[in-house]
Amino acid sequence: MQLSAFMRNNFFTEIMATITYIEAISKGLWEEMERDSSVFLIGEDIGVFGGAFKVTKGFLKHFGEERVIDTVLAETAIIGAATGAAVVGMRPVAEIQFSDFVTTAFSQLVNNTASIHYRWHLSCPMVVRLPSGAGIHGGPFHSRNPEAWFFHQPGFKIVAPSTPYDAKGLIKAAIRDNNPVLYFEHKRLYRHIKGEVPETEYLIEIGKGDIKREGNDISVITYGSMVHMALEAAEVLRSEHGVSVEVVDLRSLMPLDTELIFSSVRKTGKVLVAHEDNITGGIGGEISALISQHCFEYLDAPIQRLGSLDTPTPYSPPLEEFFLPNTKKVVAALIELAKY
Amino acid sequence: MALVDVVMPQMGESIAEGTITKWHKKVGDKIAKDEILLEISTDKVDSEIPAPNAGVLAEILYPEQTTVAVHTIIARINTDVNASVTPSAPAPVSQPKSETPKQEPASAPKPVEEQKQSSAVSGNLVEVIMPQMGESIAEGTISKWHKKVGDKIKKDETLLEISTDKVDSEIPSPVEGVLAEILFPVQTTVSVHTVIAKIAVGSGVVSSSAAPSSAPAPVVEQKVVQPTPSASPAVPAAQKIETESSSRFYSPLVLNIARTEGISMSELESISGSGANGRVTKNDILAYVGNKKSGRVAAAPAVLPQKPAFTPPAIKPAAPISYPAGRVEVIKMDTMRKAIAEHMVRSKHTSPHVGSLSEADVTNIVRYREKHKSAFEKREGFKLTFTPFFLEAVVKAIKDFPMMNASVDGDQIIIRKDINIGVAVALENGLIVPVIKNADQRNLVGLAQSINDLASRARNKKLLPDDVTGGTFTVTNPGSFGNLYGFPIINQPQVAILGVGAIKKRPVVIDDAIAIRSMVYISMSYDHRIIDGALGGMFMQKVVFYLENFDIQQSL
Repeated sequence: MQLSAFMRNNFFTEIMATITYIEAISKGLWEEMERDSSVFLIGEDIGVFGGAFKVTKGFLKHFGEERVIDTVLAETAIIGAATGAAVVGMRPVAEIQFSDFVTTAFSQLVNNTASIHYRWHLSCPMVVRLPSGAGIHGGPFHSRNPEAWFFHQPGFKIVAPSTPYDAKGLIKAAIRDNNPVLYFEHKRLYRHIKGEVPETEYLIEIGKGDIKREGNDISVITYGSMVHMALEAAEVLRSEHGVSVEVVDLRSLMPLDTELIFSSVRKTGKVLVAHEDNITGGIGGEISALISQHCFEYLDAPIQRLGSLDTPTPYSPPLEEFFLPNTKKVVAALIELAKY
Repeated sequence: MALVDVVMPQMGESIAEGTITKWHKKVGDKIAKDEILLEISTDKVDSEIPAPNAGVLAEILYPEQTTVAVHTIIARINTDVNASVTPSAPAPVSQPKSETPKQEPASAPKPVEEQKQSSAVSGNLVEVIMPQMGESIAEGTISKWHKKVGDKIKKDETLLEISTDKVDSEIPSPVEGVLAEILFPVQTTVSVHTVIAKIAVGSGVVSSSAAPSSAPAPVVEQKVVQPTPSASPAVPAAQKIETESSSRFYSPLVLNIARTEGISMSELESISGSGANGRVTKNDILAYVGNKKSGRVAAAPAVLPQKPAFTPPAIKPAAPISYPAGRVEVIKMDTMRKAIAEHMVRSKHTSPHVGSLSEADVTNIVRYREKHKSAFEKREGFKLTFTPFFLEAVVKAIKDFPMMNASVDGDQIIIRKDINIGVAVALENGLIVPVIKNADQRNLVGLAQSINDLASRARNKKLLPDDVTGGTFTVTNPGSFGNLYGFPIINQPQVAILGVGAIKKRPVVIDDAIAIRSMVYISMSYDHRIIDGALGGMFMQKVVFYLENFDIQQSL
């Protein structure tokens, strides 16, 4: 196999037809930094250490200290600096090491970043990478799925890819977008999920969902890690119960691909809205409301929701398992819907 | 002009529609009250429907052979010619129809009633509705009307009695007035919130304190309508579906599909549900719609409630038979055996078989044959059997009862004009039924020749395809092996098969004397879809008649 000089010099030691989710993010960042010199990275441990999850391993050496900036342990400073840089024409990609700690930058994000265009009529082309999600025994501080807080705040675009293909296409699209984009990347998917990613350049339009599996009887509307549970559950429903389940991967949470959601629900008439975030106040509530408002006459069953319990994420592995949604829970919810 | 609506009556609790079979009057004819106006037939009974009022038949809304839902207006009678019958001249209209009673949900649209609202009403009509006697109660049966049309009634006086599946109740009048209209007769079951009667309240009689003893305002004792011929006589199902109440929950999707597909609520009620608690799921209604479109459910005007057509359950393969190896002989079925097996199973699944058995005294025929058989054989070259005698009798009886010579095609009965009689012939390895075409055009000898020809060719495997097709009635001969009678299976698509038993001499009572006679049992299986016991029985008696009255003087 003939390798380009570029590839040989970097952590992609070989070209893979199939890469992991984390590699897809790295690759997307790398390509955008190569393409556009205004793109730079800022965050904790991303330079010398290569990132807590090694997303930016090798970036410092290749792109230099001015474009891969290690910061102090202060998320509010990271977001403030990134926002200021974006306003003056740079395209920062800020990394919040664990999305749980985005809380310390909450005021910067919702009061400043989100409203810049409204207040100043200026673009704010920045990306905030937010490694999120549970299932890694991280306890209450390293397991959150805080997307709903920002979903509620006008001014952001929000994406949450589930596959390497979507992860790469969306990180590139997010960097090129002139709005602040919150990029939720699920930690458990980093090395668990592999997928084919083309070597040629592609982007995924923000605001477009994807049917990950077609079906006729029930729609699962989901995103992020739960896409995979939904796909496994759909297969169980098919093989053991003869029920055809459609899996709609939202990919983008803001704006929502309502057209795709509605067309799926209108086809199946039964719907499960699922996310790893806990139920109460989750994005699923908004999706359910939209469905009932726009698809009421197509519903053949009450809209069902599935998510984590309304508690902090437990440290204890058995408790964490009990707390989180999983394939079995999705199967159970789908069987209930099928029976209705 | 005062027009009285004639509605399709509900002939029984479970009856949702009726077919108009005959109009006894035509538009313009005078009719007296209770004179027969039309005949209807339902799937339970046939009935003559009397005119509710005297007058002139003003309008016939449905022609004969139309099937319409119960309570649909089917005709209108103009009562003007009998205007003198009404107590007094109608007062001028002061107000439109008054408010409906409080317990009726204000939001429920009542398109039918609104159509009937008239500027010609004298006095205000207050509607009396079937009350909801409990949360889960969807309908009530009217058990007694305490008042008749024209009777005065006080507020809170008992107007009628109803019974539901929970309670029996006396229903008081919501107002004081004169009972103007009773919309449902006793023993009718109606949904809650349905208007069941109308009470006319004239000015001054609305409350008892206002003018208690004054003469009540003139009342029009009918449902009065404006003569608007263009008004559609029935409410489209699409509008109806949400106003009818139901005891079952339907999802928004199911109701939406029902509306789009023109399925009425009563039709919806007839669909069996596979969901939780028997709920009709999307798939249930789509399957129903699919069946309807493919003709498995009879299509009808959208206003009509329908029951899904009966589809026979799929034949489940029997459990595998276990047998000890070596202790059995396995015979592979040949083509004929497989064809017979398939045909017999299909026939039993197609036609509800009903059977009758009769006996005939064929002593005369036996004697006649005895007398002629030698000469016949010498002349014709084959033996004279009894079969042509039976065929001749059957053919004559078919001519008397052509319905026996029919087929069923969906909801149509196809009466065949050719009488082609199949005659079952036993073969070594099975059975075949060659057909005597136009059997009614052959005399006894002709029939005998045909039978001999077909039977011998059957045994020699020389039959042509044409020889075994086109039969309209079959005769089989379970008596040929000495048995008294058999229970044959109908040869589809025919509707009857007649079996001739063995002719045996038996002691028979004739005019209180015991005689030895040659007797034969005639058995017949027939398709109860179109042939009832009465017709089947009369037909068989006719066969017996022709056998017993065989003309022994005739030459052969």
